[in-house]
Amino acid sequence: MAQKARKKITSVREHSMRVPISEKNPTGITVRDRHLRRLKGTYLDSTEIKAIFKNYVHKDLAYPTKGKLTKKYKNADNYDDIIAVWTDYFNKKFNANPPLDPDVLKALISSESDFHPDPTGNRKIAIGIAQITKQTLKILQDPDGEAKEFIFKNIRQKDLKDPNISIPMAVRWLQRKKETATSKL
Amino acid sequence: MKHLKNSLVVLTLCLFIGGCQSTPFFGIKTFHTESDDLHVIQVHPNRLRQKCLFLNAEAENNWRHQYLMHILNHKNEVLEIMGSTNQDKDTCYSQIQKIDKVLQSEGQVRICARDKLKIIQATQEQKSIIQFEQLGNHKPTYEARTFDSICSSKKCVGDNSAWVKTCPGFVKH
Repeated sequence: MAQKARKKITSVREHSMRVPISEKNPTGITVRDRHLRRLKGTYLDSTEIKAIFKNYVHKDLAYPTKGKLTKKYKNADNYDDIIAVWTDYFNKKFNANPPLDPDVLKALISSESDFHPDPTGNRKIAIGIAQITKQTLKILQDPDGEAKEFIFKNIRQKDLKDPNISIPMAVRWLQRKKETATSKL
Repeated sequence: MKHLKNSLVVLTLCLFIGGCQSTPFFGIKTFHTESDDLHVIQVHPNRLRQKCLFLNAEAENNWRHQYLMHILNHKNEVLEIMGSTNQDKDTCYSQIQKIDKVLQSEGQVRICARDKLKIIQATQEQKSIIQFEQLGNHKPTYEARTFDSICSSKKCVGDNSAWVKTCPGFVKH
C-alpha cells in the first residue's frame, strides 16, 4: 500500500529557545513566538531573491518579446532578464500548465507603470514597477493567506521600489490569480 | 481722400478678420512616428473638460482613479484623452487643479496626446455625456488617447518621462 504523503508543515509553534545569557535573559532561555519553519523552497526573502537571480541558469529561458515596446517606452526592455528568470522559476515551481507567458507580465508592467520603477501617482497605496498594493504585499507574506503555498518574507514596502524584488512578487501573484481563475473554469 | 477713407476701412476690416483667424478655437496637427501617432492639439480652454474617473473594479481597487480630459473640436466631436496609468484619488485631483491653473492663465493652450485616433465603436447609449456649458452636451466620438502634457506659453503640466518621444515643440520632463 502506498504511503500517504505527509502535509508539508511550514510554521513552527511557540517554543523555548537557548540564547546568550544577558541581563534580560539571565537563564539563557527565551520563548520564541510562532514562526515560519525554514524549509528550503517554501519562502523567499530579499537576500534569497537576489541569490536565485544571480545564479539562475539562463539557458533555454523564454524571454518576453524584445524591441516592440522600446520605440514607445524608453525602459521597455530593461527588465526582460528579471521577467524571464522569475516566470521560469515559478512556472517550474508550480508545474504550471500552460506556463505563464513572460509577455503577459511585460504587458502588465507596461499598463501599470509604463516601465517606471517607482511611479509617483499611487505611492500611498500601490508601489513599484508592478504597482503591488499594500494589501497584496500582506497576502504574499501571510503564512495563512491565500498564497500560503509559497510566500515571501521580510519584504518591506520600500523594497517594492526595486524591480528585482517587485517583479518576482508580481509573477507569484499572477500565478496565484491564474490558479484562482482556472479553478473557476 | 474719400477713396483713402474707404481703403482704410477695408484695411481695418481685413486686419480684424485676420486677427480673429490667427487665434482659432481648435486645431490639431498629427505627427506619425515609428511607434505611434503624436497629436498637438491647440484649443480654447472653454472647449476642455477634465475629470477623475473612479474605477470601482473590486474592493481592493478602491483607490484606482483615471485622469480623463475631453476636448470639443470645431465639428462638435469630442476627443477623449486619458492618463496612461491609474492614480490615487488625491494625485488625480491635484493634477486637475494644476491643469486648471494652466487653463485659466491663457486663452489658448497646447496639448500633446499619443496613439492613433480611432472612432469609438460603442453605441450612443454606452457613451457618457460631457457637458461643455454654453457649447452644449456631447458624447465622445473618438477612443481615448494617451495624455502626454499640456502647455501654456509659460508652463507645462504632465509626466512624459516614460516615453521615448514627445510632440514637436514640447519638452520631455
